[in-house]
Amino acid sequence: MLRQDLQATKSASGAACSPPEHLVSPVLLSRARSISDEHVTLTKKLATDYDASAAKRLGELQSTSTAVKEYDQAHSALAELQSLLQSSDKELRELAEEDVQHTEDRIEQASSALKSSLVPVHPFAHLPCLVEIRPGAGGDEAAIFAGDLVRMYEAYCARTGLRTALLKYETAEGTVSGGAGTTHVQEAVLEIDSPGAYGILRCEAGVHRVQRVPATESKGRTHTSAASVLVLPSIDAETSGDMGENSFNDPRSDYYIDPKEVRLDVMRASGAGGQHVNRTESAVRLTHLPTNTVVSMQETRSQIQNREKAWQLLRSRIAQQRREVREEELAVLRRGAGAGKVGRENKVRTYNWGQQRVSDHRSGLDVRNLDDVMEGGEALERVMQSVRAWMAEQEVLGLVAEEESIQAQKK
Amino acid sequence: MPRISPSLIRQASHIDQRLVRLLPICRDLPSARNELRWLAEHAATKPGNEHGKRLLEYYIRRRARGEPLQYILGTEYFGDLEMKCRPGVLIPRPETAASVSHLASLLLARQLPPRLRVLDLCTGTGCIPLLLDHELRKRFRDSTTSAEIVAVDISPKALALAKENLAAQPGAADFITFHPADVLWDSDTNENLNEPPSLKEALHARHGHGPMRNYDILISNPPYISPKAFRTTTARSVRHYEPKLALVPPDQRTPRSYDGVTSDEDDAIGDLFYPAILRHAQDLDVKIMLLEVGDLAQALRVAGMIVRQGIWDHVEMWRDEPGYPVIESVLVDGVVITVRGRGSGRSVFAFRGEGRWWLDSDISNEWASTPVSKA
Ligand SMILES: C[S@@+](CC[C@H](N)C(=O)[O-])C[C@H]1O[C@@H](n2cnc3c(N)ncnc32)[C@H](O)[C@@H]1O
Repeated sequence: MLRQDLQATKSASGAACSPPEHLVSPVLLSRARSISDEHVTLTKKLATDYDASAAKRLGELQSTSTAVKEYDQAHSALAELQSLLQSSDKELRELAEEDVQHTEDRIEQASSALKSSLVPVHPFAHLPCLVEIRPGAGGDEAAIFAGDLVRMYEAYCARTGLRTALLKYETAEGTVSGGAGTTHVQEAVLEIDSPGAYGILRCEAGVHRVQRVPATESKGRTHTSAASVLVLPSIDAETSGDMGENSFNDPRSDYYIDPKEVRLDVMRASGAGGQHVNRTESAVRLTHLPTNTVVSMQETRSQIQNREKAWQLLRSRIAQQRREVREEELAVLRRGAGAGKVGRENKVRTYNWGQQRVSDHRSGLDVRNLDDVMEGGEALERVMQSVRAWMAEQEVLGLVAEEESIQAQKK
Repeated sequence: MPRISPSLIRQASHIDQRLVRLLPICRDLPSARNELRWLAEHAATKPGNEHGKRLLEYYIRRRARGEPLQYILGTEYFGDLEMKCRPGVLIPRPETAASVSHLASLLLARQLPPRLRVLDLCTGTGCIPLLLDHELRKRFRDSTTSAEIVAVDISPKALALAKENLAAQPGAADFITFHPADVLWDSDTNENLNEPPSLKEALHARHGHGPMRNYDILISNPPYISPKAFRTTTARSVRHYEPKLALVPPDQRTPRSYDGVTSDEDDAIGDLFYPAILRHAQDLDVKIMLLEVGDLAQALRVAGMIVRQGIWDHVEMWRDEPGYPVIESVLVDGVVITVRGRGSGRSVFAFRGEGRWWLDSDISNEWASTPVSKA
C-alpha cells in the first residue's frame, strides 16, 4: 500500500512524461525476480551436490540476485520510514525525515545496479559514431527536414559536450531554395567522435516523420514527409588499435575490410594530367566489390583526407551490414515476444508542427516543447532517455524469449 | 573546349547564380559547387567579416576569369601536406605526389645507407623534398636512417616560396636545404657571377670544394612541355597564369630556324632537360632515379635515353597511379620495360648497383628476372 503511494507521487513529480530513470519497469523487475529465484534454487542444489556448470550459472546470476536483495531492502527501509513519518512522536518523525533522502538515494542506486545487471551493455556503446541523415518520402520538404535534423543533432551534441564534425554535407541539386536558413539536404554524415557517442545516439536510428505546412506550400496544407536516420558505430585509424577485436586490422572484426576487395577511383576527368592541366577535383570513390557498397567523398581539397573519410564511412557501413545480417536471426526469435525491430524502415518518431508536439512511437512519450527538441535541448534529451529505457526493456524481453526458445528446444 | 550545355546552365542558375559563373572554368556542377564552397570558406577566414561578401565576389570574379583556384586560396594539397602557392611558381600536381609517395613506399629502411643523400632538381614550391622527407620520416621512425635532401631551382621566386614551405613543416629544416642552380648549364666553375651557378658549382658551394660528393637518389620534375604542346594541349588557365619558365624548356637550337619547327625538333625541345639530368646522375653516381614526364610517348623517349646511357640495371615507366596493380610491358630499344599502374604515362624510374637492395624485395625480385641490358 505504502509502496504504491510512493510510486504515484514519484510519477506525478516526473510530470506526464516518461517514468523517472530510477524506476524499474515491471518487465525488468519480474525478470530480476525469476533470476533471483533461480539463484536460490541453485544455491540449495549446490549445497548437496556439486556441479561445475551449475556453479558457473550461479556466478552469472549473482549480480542480479544481489541487486534484487538490495532493491527490496531499500524499499522496505523506505516503507518503514514512511510509517515512522506518521508517528505522533516528534523526535521519531524528525529522525525519519533525515533518513528519507538517504534511503531514496539508496533506491536509486539499487535500481540502476539492478538494471545494469540485467541489460547487457551494447558491445559498441563505448564507441564514437556516425549519424547519416537522408530525406525519405516527401520531396523538397523531406530534404529541408533532413537539414533540420542535422542542425538538431549538432545542437544537441554541442550542448552535451560531444565533439562533432560534418563528414559529408550534400545539398540537393536543382531545387529552389526555400526561406531563410533552410537547406535541402540530400545526404549528411555527422561524425561524433567522442567515446560513448554510439551508446547515446543509437536510439535515434529509424524513420523520423514530420507534419507541417511546408515553406513552399501556398495553400496552407499540412504535409507529411520523412527523413531517415542511420547511426553507425565508428572506429578510426587511431582508436582501432585499442579496440581489440573491433580493430579494423583484425580479420575477425566486423570492421575488417580486405583492401584487395576495394576499388579506389580518384574521380578526375580523363586525358592529359601533369603540367598541362591544373585540376581541382579531389573527389574519391571507394567500391567494396563483394557487396557493391559505394562511398564517395569530396568535402575537402585534400584527396588524402577525402580518402581517409571515405574509408571510415565504408568500414562503418560494412560493419553495420554484417551486424544486421547476424541480428536478423536473433530478431526472428525475439519478435515473437513483441520486441520491435529498431530498423531503418520503422517510423520511430513524429514531429508535429501544428500541435507543437513530438511523439516517440517506441517509448510512447509525447513532449509539447517542439522548439526545444529541434534546438537539441532538454526536451530532446528526455525523449532520447525514454527510448533508451524502452530499448533496454526490449533487450531483456528479447533475452527472455531467447532463453525460452532454447529451453523449448532442449525438451 | 566544348560549350556548357544550356540545361546544365539552367540547373545551376536554379541553385545559385554564382555557380553559373564558375561553370565555364569548372566544367561540371559538382566541381563548381565544391569550388564555390571552398572560396566562401576562404573568404570567411579573412578578418573583417563584413567584407566577406565583397571578398567572395572578388574571388569568384578572379576564378571565373581563369585564375587557378590555388593562387586565390594560396595553397594546394600535396599528399599529406599543404603547400603555399603564389603566382610565379608552378602549382604542385597530384600526379607528382603519387609518384613521390610510391617511391617512398618502396624504400626499405633497414637496407638503406644510414644517411641517405637525395637530390631534387627543379624544385619549384619545394613540394617534392618536403613530401619525401615527410614520408621517409614516417617510414624511418623505428630506425636510425635519415635522409639529407638538397633541392635546387633557377627561379628566385620559387626558392623564396620553397623556404617558406620549409619553415612551415616542423623539423624539416634539419633535413632539407634549397639552393639556386641552373640544371642546364654544365660547368665546374661560375664564370658569370650574375647568373645562377651551375649545378656542380652549387653543390661545391654546399659541401665545400674537393672531390664531388655523391648522391643516392635523384628526383626531378623538370619543365617538359614542348612549344607546340604549350600552344595546343596546355589548358588556358595554365598558359595564362603559371610561369612558362616552369613549363617549357628554352629553345636552344643553333642556328635557330624561324620557318617552323619539325615535330621531332618540337619533341627535342620538350625533352631538353633529360639528357642534362642523366649526365648529372652519372657524374654524381646516383643509384635510384625518378623523372616525371608529360605522357607515355615522352616516357618512351626518356626510357630510351636511359637504356642507351648503358649504366642502369633496370628501367620502368610509371603511370599516374603507380601503385594500382596492373603491369604491362613495352619494348624500348630492344629491351623489355615494365609499365606500372593506371592513368597516363607519368614518370620514368631507374636503378643500378646497390640501389636494388634498397628497394622492396618482392618488387626487386620481379625486377631481377628482367634485367636491362642492351641486346
Ligand atoms: C615543372 S616545375 C616543377 C616544380 C616542382 N618540382 C613540382 O613538381 O611542382 C619546373 C621548375 O624548374 C625550374 N627551372 C626552370 N629552368 C630551370 C633550370 N635551367 N635550372 C633549374 N631549374 C629550372 C622552374 O623554375 C620550375 O620551378
